Order: sequence, then C-alpha cells, then structure tokens
Amino acid sequence: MNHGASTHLEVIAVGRRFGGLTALDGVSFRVVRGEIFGLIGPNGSGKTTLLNIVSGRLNPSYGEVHKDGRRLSRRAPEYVCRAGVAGTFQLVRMPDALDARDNVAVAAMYGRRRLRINAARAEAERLLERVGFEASPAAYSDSLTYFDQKRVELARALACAPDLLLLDEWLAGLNPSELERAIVLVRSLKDEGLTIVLVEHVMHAIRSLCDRIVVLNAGRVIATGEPEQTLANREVIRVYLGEEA
Amino acid sequence: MVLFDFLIAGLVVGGIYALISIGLNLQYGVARVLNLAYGEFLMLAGYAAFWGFSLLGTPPFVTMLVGVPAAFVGSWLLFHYIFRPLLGRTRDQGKREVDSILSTFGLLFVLQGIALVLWTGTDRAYSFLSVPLHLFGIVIGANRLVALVAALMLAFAVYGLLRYSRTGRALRSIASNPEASPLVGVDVERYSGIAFAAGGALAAIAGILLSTFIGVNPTIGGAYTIKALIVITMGGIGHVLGGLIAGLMLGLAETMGALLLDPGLITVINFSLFTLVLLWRPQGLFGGTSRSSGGGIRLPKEVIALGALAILIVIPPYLGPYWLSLLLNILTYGALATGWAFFSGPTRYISLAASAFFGVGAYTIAVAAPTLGYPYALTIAFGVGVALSAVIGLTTLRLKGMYFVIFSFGLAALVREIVTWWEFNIANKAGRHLFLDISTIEIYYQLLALCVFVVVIWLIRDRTRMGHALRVLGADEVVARQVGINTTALKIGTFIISSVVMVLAGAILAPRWSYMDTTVAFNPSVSFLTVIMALLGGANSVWGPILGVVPLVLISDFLSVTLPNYFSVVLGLCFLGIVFFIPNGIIGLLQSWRARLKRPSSGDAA
Repeated sequence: MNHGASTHLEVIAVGRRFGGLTALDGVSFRVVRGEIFGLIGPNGSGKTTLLNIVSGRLNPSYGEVHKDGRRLSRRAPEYVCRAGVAGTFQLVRMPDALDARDNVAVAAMYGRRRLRINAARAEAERLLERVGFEASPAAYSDSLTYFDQKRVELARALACAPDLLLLDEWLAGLNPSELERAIVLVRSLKDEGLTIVLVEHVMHAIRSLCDRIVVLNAGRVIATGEPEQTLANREVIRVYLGEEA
Repeated sequence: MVLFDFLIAGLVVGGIYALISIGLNLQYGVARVLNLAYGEFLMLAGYAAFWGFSLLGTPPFVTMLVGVPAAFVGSWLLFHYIFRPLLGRTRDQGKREVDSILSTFGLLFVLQGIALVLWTGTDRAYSFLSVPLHLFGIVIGANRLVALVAALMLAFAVYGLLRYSRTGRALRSIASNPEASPLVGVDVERYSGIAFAAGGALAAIAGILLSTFIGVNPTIGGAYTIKALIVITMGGIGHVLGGLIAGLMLGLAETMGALLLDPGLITVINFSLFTLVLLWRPQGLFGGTSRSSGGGIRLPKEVIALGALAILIVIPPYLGPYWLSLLLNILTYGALATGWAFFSGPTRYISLAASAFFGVGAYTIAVAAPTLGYPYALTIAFGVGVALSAVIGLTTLRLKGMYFVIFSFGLAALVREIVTWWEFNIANKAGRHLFLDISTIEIYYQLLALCVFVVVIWLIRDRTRMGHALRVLGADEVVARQVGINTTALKIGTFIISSVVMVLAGAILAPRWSYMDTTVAFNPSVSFLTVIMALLGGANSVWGPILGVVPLVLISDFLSVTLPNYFSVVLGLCFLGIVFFIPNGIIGLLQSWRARLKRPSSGDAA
C-alpha cells in the first residue's frame, strides 16, 4: 500500500450476526483518502450489511469503524452524516412528501452545512444539475424515471457535503448509455476530491472506476488489491463462477 | 398458603383476559383490522345473554347457540361491507392501519350509543352459576372457573385449527405475509373475512361468559378492548398461545400487585407492565414507517385568517351567552385539534390521548388554583404539561405505527386512573368545587390567544428548516436520519409543544366548570372529537384542523339540542363517513376542486 496516502476510513475486525446467521465475520480494510474503493462479492456476502454499519443504520456485533481517527460505529446515522459520510440506498428511497428539489435541499439544511431554506434550494438546484438530473426540480418521485430517482438520491447525498461517499449499487439497473454517463459522473466526483466506497456488481464499472477493491465472500475478506489482478485471483473466480471456470 | 390462593385467583382473572383476547387476536393478527370497537362486541353479547336470561329464561349457554352464529354472520357482513372496501382503497399498509383505527373508533361510538338508547346506562346483571366452589381449600365462583376453562379450551382449539387445518394454514400465511399469499393461491379477502368473523364469534362467547359474573352496561367495552390489546401485544400479535400465556401472566401480576400495593392501582400495574414489554420489544408485525402523503398543501389563507381574527377580537361584547359559549367551544377544539395536528399531522403518529392532556390541564387548575391563585396554577399546568409530555415522549416515541396508537389509547385511561386513584386514596376527594373569579370573556380571550399561538408557531415552523425536516421524518425516518436530522429531538420537541397546547386548553377552560371530577375532566370523547375534527379538516396543514372544527362543533351542538339521545350514534356515523368519503380532509377536498377547476383552463391555453 502507498504509505504516502493517508487512511480515510478504517474498518477494524467488524462482525455482525443476525440471530444464528453470521453476515460479517471479522472484516478489516482501509480506504485511502481520494480513492474509489470497490466492495464486491456474490449476493449475501455481507456488502450491504457492511455499508449499513459504516453509515450508522446498523450496529456491529463486534469490531469498529473509524474515519479520520474518529469512531463511527455504534453512532446514530445523524452523527455519521455530520462526520462527513453520506450515501445512497440500495433500493431508492425518495420520500414523496417533497419534490425533487426539496428532497435534496433538506440535506443541505441539515447534513453538515445547515443552510437556510433559500440557500439550500439554490444549492439543491445546482447539485441536481451537477448529477445530470433531467426532469423538473418540482417533480415528485412517481413521475421520475428510475435514473432520475437515483440522481436525486446522489444529489441528496452530495448535499450533505460529505468527504466520504457510499454508493450501494448506484449503477445497477441502468441501460448501457446511462451506465456510461454514470461512470463519467462518479469519476468526476472523485476528481473533486471525494473518497468513494462503492458496492457494485457491474464488472465493467468496477474495472474502469475502482483504484482498489476488496472481495467479500460469506462475510469474510477473500482478496484485496487492484481490480485487474484481484479479479484474476483463483479464489475470486471460484466464488463468482463456481469451481474451475 | 396465601400465595397459593393468590395464584389461583390470579389465574382465574388471567383466564378472563386470555378469553377476551383470542377474538381480537384473530381480527388484528390475521384480518389486519385493529378493531377498537371489539369491547363493544363483548358488550352486545353480554346484553344478549342478559335479556335472554331475564326475559325468556334461557340460560347463557343456550343464548350462545344462537348468538355465536349470529355474531359470526354479523361480523362477516361488517367486514365485507365496511372494512373490505375501506382497506381495499389503498395498498399502503400505513394508511390502512389509520383507516381501520379511525373507522372502528367511529363504530365504537355507534354501538355504544345504540346500547345507551335501547337499554339506558343501568348495570344489567343476573345470577347464573354463581355457586361457590371449594377447590384446593379456596373458594371460586363456578362461573369464573367456567371462564378460565373456556379460555384454555378455546385457546388450544384455535391454536390447533390454525396449526393443522387447511384454513388455518391459509390464515397463518396471511398473517405473516398478505402480499405473498395470493401468489400461492390463498384468497386473502375471503380468509380475512373468515378470520374477522371468527373473531366476532369468539367475542360473543367471551361476552356471554363475562356477563355471568359482571354487570353489563353500554360503557364496559373500552376497558376490555384495552386489556385485550395489552394481552395480544404482549403475547405477540397473531400468536394465540402467546396471548394465553400473556393473559394469565397479566392476571397474576394484577392479583399480586393488588395484594402487595393497592387494589386501586390495578390498571396502573397492568399498563406499566404493558409499557415495559412494548419498550423492551417495540417492533411488531408492522415495523415499516414509510407512507405516502397527500403532498404539500399551501393555500394563501393568511389574509382571511387575519380578517377572522380581527372579528373574533372585536365581537365578544356584542354576543349573547349562547353564541359566546358556541364560540368558546370552537376555540377550545380549535386549540385542541390544531395542537394535536401540530405533532400528529406531519409525523403521522396517531394519538388517541388528547383527553389525557386536556384533563391534566383542567385538573391542575382545580387542584392548584384555589390555594395558589389562577396565574400560578396556569404556570404550574404549563410545567406539568412539559414534564408529562417529555416523559411520555422519551419513553414512547420509539414505538411505531399501531403500537403508538394502542399505547395512546391506553395512556388516556391510565392517566385518568392514576388521578382517580390519587383523588380517592391520597387527597380523599370525590370531586372538586371551583369558585374562580374568571369571566367567560377572559376565558374567551385566553383561548383565542392560545389558538393564535399554535398557528403562529406552526407557520414559523413551516417557513424554517424544521418544516422540511418533519415532512421527511413523516415520510421516511431512515432517510431523515441519513441526511443528518436528529429525529429523536425533533419528535420529542414537537410532541411537547403539541401536548402543552392541549394541556393549556384544559387549564384555560377549567374555570368554566364549577365542579370537576375525573369523569368530567378526562372525558374520552375529547380525544375522539379532537382527532375527528383534525382529520376532517386535514391534519397536514395549519388551517386544516380549524376547517374541521367549525362544522363539527356546529353539528354536535345542533345534535345535542335536537337529538340528545342519539348524539353518540350520529357522531360515530359522521366519523365513519369522514373516513370513507373525505380521506384527505376538507383541505384536500378544496385542493382537488381547485385542481379540477384549473385543468380546463390550462387545456384552453394549450
């Protein structure tokens, strides 16, 4: 690992059990400031559980999560948000009590910045444009395309003013042309200095975006490193494709 | 051997609780209708047994042969003609819960009112099987033992049917996942109807058995509904054997509590136990909170409101006593309904406890004003309101959906019981006389000020970040927390303001009464009217509740003059009608009319 770069997020021996089921079993890794870090693995390997723990929605059974030396684990989601971590949900959650603009604006009113209503709305419009949102900012979720709903979620996460962004399968379900635009967008966020942790199944996106990845299987880390060589790892091929692909 | 005596006594009491809870468990756990009128079913069955016995001489078991099938058919019809169309209106589980609560709350008043009109408020009791049995050296009434045995038999029979019969399997699949059940060929509506009807039939059995040792009157239902709710929530909703065990436990705890502490504290003990269990295991079948909403409502009504305010300030000296008291009524409910909606509208926590806060305010004045003077008493009422709502908010706002509704329903009864117990045992008073030198006009202006206060706070809230935060919170709490909103603080703060307004409404109105006791101060119809008015008007916007208050105060005033006996029936029917026909409130209705008016004009422009 490059010792010149500083550790931004550190996951230390995190485990989580649901009743008798062990979803995570002592997972550790470091995310370096400014990189795109991929979290991959087959379904049920514990990726979303891990993101839920980092974002404060779930407490680990054991282990800790630190960001910039501050403990994040076992804190309330609102604390984690104010510590500079924001993210999107695996399944889009866009409250239909507010239009697209206010969905984003409310994150700028709270989050890390606490803007006043008018400033927050202006910021929301800027961010919606930034993520390429195509519909009217006054639209409600039921009249938006799936991609636009995802863009609202991303803009809402950005409105919290995070320095660490968690994307849970944000690229899933997009058509090929949408996917290309989304990849360009995510890369440009990195260029602005954000550290990004993404959970993803789309291999093409992982190869073209991630600086490093970690592969989870059954709640354990089975490989970590740069995408190309890690994805070529025999163990990784075995868990993804079955025996001897 | 005292301990053994109390063990048996506790089991007998617990048997009754288990018995009355089985039917509600089916109705709520399987048919997914939280039937707040369940106790009224028991009451009607009790009356059937009484009249059968005293007029025709038929013993209760014979009444059962006719009454139970009749209850089955009646409940089935009720489900198919009222609840099915109502619940079929939306797929949104949250909205369904609210609709079922509100409509059965209306039904409660209708059934109670009918019983009151037909059979008056007298306790009706008869003597059947009240022979003392000597069992293990202690004495139990045979009728109570029958209830215990019946509870055990029915619980195991229902459990067995659910577990091993085809119908039972279908019912269990609906209870655990109503969405997936049709995929495996289960006709959800048909089986929900059967479950609801079976629940009604079980209520009939319980009510008839109950009437053999308890006097029946039109108002006995509420207490049994609360007990049955406590039992099924503690035992796990839909789990019949869990309910049996919870019922027996509750009976034991109650008997022990009465022995060790004070018999007057039974309800308090029950409810504390219930609260502990709920707090320890809060999430139930309906863990989700996300719901759709009518959308943001904002009508430029401020000008009209200021005009109305000017009139309200100027007019009182020119009014006769009748009109003044009518306006006073409107202002009282204006404060109550707007205060209620301040919290319950945006957060969608439906509270049925308005009467608790109102009553606490009124009672604080009755206790403190004679010695300390009115201004100090009002300050104390304010303090009591803040303290009470902070404690309630901190402990209960983690409950979600139905559990909060159930809790608030019981909370009103709990607060009344505590105050009653205090008055009788500590203060040694049956009621209190109030001779305060405060004129109606002074009360009027105080209430007006309170209304203006709530509206102004609400308007300020809507224009700051907090209004946005509350809307996100009401729609999806997970998202709210993820964008950095401290939802706990927000909920508790809003809840305290809302509760204090209701407390102050009671405190300000108190000098109107010259005599007060707990039945006056904690009148449950205050909760009922507050919710009905706020929902009629529209609880999501600041002007909504007031729009509901005016017509309903006028209607209820008209009814109480022209049809005093049918007051409760007609009011209950109004409530049912509102839930059916005006689901988004008057303000929602106005909005959709405006939208309809606009549409043709935009069509012309195109």
